[in-house]
Amino acid sequence: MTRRQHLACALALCAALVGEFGGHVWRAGFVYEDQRLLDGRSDHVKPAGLLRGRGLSGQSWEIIATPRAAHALNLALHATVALLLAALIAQLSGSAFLAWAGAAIFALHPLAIEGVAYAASRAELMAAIGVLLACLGAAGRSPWGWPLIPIGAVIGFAGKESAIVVFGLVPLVLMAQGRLRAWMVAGALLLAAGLAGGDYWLHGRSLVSWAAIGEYAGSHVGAGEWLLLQGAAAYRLLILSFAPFWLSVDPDLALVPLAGRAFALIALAGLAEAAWRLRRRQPLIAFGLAWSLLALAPRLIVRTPLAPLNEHQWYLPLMGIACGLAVAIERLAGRLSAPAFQEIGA
Amino acid sequence: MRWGLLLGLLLAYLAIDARAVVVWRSDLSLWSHAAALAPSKLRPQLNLSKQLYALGREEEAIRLASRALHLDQERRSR
Repeated sequence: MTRRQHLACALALCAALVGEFGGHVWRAGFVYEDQRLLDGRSDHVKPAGLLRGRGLSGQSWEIIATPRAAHALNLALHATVALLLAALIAQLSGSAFLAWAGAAIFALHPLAIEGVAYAASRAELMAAIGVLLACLGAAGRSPWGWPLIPIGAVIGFAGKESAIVVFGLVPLVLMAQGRLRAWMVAGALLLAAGLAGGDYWLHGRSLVSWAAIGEYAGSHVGAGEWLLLQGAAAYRLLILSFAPFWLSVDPDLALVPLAGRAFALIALAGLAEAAWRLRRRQPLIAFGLAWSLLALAPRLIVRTPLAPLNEHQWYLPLMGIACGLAVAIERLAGRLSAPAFQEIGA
Repeated sequence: MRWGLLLGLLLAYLAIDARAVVVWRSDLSLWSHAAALAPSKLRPQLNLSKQLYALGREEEAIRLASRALHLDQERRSR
């Protein structure tokens, strides 16, 4: 593909996104928890606020307070994420088709709507940009890419703590390229320990307290019970990734019986096994599956009893599914254009 | 062939997206949709009731909230 064709793909993707969300940016108001974030505004950016949890996304609410500007910013962030994803898939696969197909499937997937249309999801989009920058830094074979890893991690954390998945995804990228070394794992662990130490120093928050970050008095839930509930929520989102017809901001997961929750967890474990088995035969599908599961993993541990896994929190795992779907389309096209199929068509 | 398949999938997504994005336009549309999909869950019902109340549809809002509370109580006692 020439540079001009890449530019045409990028422009077509951005145009499709504007077509999809343009009306929303123009007409939609603030909804749900947007108001809580607006109420916390003080009308000026505080540099010290950048050091607090979600500093970047939190401070952005000081500048952007109208629905139109907030929705436009989310759309711009989403387009940036899609372009970064295209760059990452291109680095990993060397295929322009897979890069643009993966990015377009992710960008236009109905499950990404909550992340873009809900202004409060801005934090999730910022975290995704940081994570992708770090992964791109790792995927590029130039030593100039290495500084992008800590820079991306810091940007991601300043967006939202969900960027913690960077410590799983960067090694995954290196592993996919056969470049993972013991010293890199040690480096990632040191960086993680440094960030955890910094978090403790700045906010007095220990690593153990992260597991109950969304809990408060009266909302306690046991780790096992939480795992089962999140397993069911993740399974629902996995199904919706392939059949996105029953989207909802607040689905009724209590209706899922215990056996269903246990089955969902077993299914997720089965996907992890499938990713491991496919790593040589279908490396990009295995990468996509592993990406989704690693991006999901912290949500199975960190308990937020009032908000089980929802659609905007599926934003990062959806990238792995999009990558797998792009490969599936390429394989399907290969089979359909095989001589046997052409004869049937004739 | 592969670009054609991709385009087909993306067009299908855009058709679904067109209906799903509208849900996020206001609190009323968001919670009406969520409440319809989870008729016995407390939060979407109460949030919808709050929106109806704010619009001056008090009677409808109170009826919806008391039904939601009743259903939730029933569910907890099971």
